[in-house]
Amino acid sequence: MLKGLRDRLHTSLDDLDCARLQDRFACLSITPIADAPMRQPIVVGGEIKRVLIAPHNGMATLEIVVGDGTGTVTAVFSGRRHIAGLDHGRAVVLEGVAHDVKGKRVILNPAYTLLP
Amino acid sequence: MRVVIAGGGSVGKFIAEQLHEGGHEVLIVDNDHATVARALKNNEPKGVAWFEADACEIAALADANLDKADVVAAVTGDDEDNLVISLLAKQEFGVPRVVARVNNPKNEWMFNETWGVDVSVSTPHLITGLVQEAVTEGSFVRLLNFEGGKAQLAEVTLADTSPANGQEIGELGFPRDANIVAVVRGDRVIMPRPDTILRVHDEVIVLVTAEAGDDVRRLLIG
Repeated sequence: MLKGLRDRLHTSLDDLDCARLQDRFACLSITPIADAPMRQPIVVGGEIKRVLIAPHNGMATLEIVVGDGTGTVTAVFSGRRHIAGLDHGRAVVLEGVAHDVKGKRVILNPAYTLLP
Repeated sequence: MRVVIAGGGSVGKFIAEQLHEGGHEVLIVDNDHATVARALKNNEPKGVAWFEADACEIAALADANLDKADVVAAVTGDDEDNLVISLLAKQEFGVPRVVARVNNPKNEWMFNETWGVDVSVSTPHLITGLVQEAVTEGSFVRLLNFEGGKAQLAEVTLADTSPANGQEIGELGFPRDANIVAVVRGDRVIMPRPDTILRVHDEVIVLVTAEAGDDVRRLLIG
């Protein structure tokens, strides 16, 4: 137990958060974000780390960055400013097809499930 | 590259032929039985594969192996179809580059990344640009848009009243977000250098971002 405490004290907050997220999402039967293939239907999950409204060509676009401790994925909802439940810190499962946008993993208009 | 073309009309067939000659693997998807049958019978365009299906259906696009396509070109004669095909290609298959044809210029505003379109081509807009270029002096003519309109290639023919006449390019004080990329004088294309002197009736081709547009207009048109 003492060793556990010492390990915790020597680990950075970011690493602790990654470990916590990995524990939380490992038990669900979903793909870790880092292993999720591009351009194939995937189911990934994580906590919402960032929510932003980014206008594209004058159209509101909701962008949500989700992380599970292995990596992050950006869900883009076109034409939306707000989606009830998709708030900072919320755990979600996303289903869709990821593609690469300038090095970012992006899923366009994914199906989402809110986790309690 | 693997290219899938939706729409096997004259536009689709022409693009397919050109791309095939360029060494690309091309598949045309069209839902008209007669069109596909005729094309297969006459083997035209040569070396291009055909697939009879409705490109607005996800299942049909999956059968056309869109998940392995590098480029999708939605070039049917129907703007609604082109938008649906573009959105499905981007959203369901993550196609890296989606090109769409605009038939009715009124619909051009919709052909952007919201609908999964990376590049749109509107023939009426192109023709307007080319006609303007031929007849207008002293105005800013858009030739091409990049990055959804953030940058554009434009052309200005210098009128008698242009403040740039007789000036060296280096002394114009061009904004950092714009560049003169070529000067056409009569039949000659001049590569612009800081000491190139602009003259009246020169066609000046500029690459300019949206923010710098007004400054460039002021410098070249007055």
